[in-house]
Amino acid sequence: MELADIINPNNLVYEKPKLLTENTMHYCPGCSHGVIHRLLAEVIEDMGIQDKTIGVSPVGCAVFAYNYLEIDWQEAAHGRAPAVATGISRTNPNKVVFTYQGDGDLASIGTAEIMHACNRGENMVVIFVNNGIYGMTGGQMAPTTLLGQVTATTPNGRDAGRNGYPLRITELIAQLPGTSYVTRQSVHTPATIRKCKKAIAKAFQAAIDKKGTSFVEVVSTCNMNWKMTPVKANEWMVENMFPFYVPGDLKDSSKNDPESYTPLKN
Amino acid sequence: MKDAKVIELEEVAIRFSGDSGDGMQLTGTLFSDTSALFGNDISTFPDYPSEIRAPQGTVGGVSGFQVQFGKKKITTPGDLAHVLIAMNPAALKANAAFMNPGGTIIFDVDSFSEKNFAKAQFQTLDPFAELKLDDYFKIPVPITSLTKESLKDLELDNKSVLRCKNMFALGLICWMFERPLDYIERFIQNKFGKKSPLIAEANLKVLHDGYNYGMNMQHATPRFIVHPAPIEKGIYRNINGNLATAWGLLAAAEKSGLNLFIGSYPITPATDVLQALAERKDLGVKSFQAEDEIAGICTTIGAAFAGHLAVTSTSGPGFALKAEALGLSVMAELPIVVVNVQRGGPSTGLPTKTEQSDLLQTLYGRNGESPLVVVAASTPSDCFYYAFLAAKIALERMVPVVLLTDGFLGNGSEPWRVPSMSELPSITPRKATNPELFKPYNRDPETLAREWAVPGMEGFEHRIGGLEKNAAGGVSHDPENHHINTQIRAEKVAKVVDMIPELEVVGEAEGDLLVVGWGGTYGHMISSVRAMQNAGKKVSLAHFNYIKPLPKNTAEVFSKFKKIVVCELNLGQFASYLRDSVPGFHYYQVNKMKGLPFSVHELVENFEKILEA
Repeated sequence: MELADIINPNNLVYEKPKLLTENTMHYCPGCSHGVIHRLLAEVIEDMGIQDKTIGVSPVGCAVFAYNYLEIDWQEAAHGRAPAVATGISRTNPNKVVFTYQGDGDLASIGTAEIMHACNRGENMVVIFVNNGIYGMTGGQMAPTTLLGQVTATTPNGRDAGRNGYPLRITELIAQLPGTSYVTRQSVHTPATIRKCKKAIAKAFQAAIDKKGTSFVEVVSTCNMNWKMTPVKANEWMVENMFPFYVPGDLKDSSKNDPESYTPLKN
Repeated sequence: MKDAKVIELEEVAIRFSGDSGDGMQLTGTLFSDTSALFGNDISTFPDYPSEIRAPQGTVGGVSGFQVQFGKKKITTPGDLAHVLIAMNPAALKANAAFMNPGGTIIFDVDSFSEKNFAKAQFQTLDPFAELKLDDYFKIPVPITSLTKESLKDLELDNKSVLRCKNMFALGLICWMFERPLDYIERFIQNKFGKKSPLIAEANLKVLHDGYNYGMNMQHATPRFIVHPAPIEKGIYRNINGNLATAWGLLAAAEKSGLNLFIGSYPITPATDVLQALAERKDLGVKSFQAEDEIAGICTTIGAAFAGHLAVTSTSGPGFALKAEALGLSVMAELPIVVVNVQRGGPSTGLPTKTEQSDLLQTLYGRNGESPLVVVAASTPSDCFYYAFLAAKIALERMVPVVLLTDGFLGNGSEPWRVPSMSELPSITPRKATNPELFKPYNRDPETLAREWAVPGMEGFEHRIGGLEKNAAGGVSHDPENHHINTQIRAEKVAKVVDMIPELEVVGEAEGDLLVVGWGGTYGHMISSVRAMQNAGKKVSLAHFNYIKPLPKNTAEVFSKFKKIVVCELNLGQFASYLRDSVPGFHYYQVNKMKGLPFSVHELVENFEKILEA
């Protein structure tokens, strides 16, 4: 193929989604956030809902998410994104509201908010990025840190007796009647990225169809605080995270799940 | 070879600056430690964008480390740097405003490329002209290519080679300032020697090549001599405020015969306190990383009820979350210490930047009449003493104590003479001894402190909590009882004044202007006041470490001066508090809300204006 063919717009197969801003992302090289941001941008663009999508960003590394997607955003207090999103969603029932939260934010300081928002079946999407560590504050133990994993606050590895067990919050969320779609994904290979995109699209469709809360966990890497190369971090994730945080759908009401969601009476 | 240009200096500030991944914090720390070991007094200021790594080559990703050292007492990291090491154009851009006019700029000329100019968003191809740095003494050094050249015979991948660049810069700077390399060599050996001897060899080689480069290029590089400072004899180490805080609490636990408990949640810039204590299981520390800020303080209250020296550490937003539980500790009259390493607010604010804006929240930010003791550390190393004293006050007076530090103190460092335990005052917890006389809210008539009984002590079974209670610990809605207890709780805090020293004045006890400050601004305050005094002005300093209660001679000190100015990194919170607590004076104000410490220069300028007014 000649250069002229390659740059011919008709042959374009891949480009930056229009929703992604020109801002350079601040994430560490190798971080999963950038890929997930891109998937969100693609899904929102594909579905044509840019004008009615509202994001709520957390405190943590993704606090700056609002710099990168051209939609309305609100940053919440640490852990409280689901409560802020509840306020937005209830007063704007025809908008598509989502939160974007890390594991420290969602599964530790914000446990009460996420459980109750999901239990109430608030009409929203939750994107839950789980990398098993606090990234922004420099690598402390998170609720999702695996047993034996070394962090800044577990210098000898996480010990169940001292630090408790890693929390599979997504399994708890799937038990709640307010959730319609609960899934666990990853973005470490082209195939899993495509699958994750489908899951995010399905979650957003559920919000458009007013099916209550959809919850997409993305098992991710934090190579910087895990102190690994990005490639090694992906391998480590597959070897160590996946046996505990098993990828796949946990609940899908579109498949007539008996636990399926009952719509809110507006 | 020409003779080296040797310049003798009283003090000098150096700023190491590069990409977040260039290892500038380590380079700065190693140089600071070397200078401290050489016998200089030092003060450091790490200035970094956030804990995560921004894109290479951008101004947002620049990480800096400033150290000032000298042959006399050094109280600040320096307003402006005399020497800047810029590893790329972005570093030059980010730091141009912090350069002493006519200072020396050493830069990696290899990285000054068109591509990197664009990344740093320069408009032209002459960054020095664009930043108006033409009159500065510029030393271009091909750091990247010399590092590569230095390591060409070692079997190292390109990335590992480039990671040695900082050692070249460090070696060069060590030559320029006549620093011996032995400490740095030992550090490299200890860090890499066993695990990856090749990396150790590479770092050592580049360090020496950088040093030798300076020696060989004497005609181009000036050499500075900064003599050691006359410092009291003893064992010294370099320490930052967060580590000093952790150690002060450890010392208090040892001195009081109690075990230390810390229940905290990660939050910038306070996390290091939790981390430092998580590493000291060997000293009996029970560290607990809680699921949130509220659980952090509530576990602390539980541990205090159970007889531990109990501590929680946090920063502004976390302190806000702890408010209700702090009220519980006021009501239950339990001895807890809350460390608030203040940062820019409100809300998430400026997590990595310093500020003093939590003062009013600390004094008043709870429901009900809810008094507690507030102390503030003023230098990185005295965080040790104020953490120790906060614990002493809490344990001896059965009262929650808040220790205010800030991001500047927490991350900044200075040499500290390690005290022996015998130098520290005793701590006598008010453990209950006589079950016949024990009631949970029986009080010492002098101090109004109640006795501390711990579950498991026979004959001392009792209940306490957040409801208003009578002396026996029973719930009481009696109007008179609530009125009296409210007064007692306030008076108990007021009586802590007997434990604290009188306010000292630096300089003459009377004069034209009294400069008043509190907490982490001390270094810049004292430097500016000394500068005024040297210029013959009748200016003195009164710096507060005890905020509530205030030292008993405060009004007397104030009355000897024609004018009083209160300087703080907020919009006037301490000034408001003084207007209320020490009325009858006119308080001028100097305030700054930029996420940065004061500069000596701006303080002096403001003081001169006030003197003339």
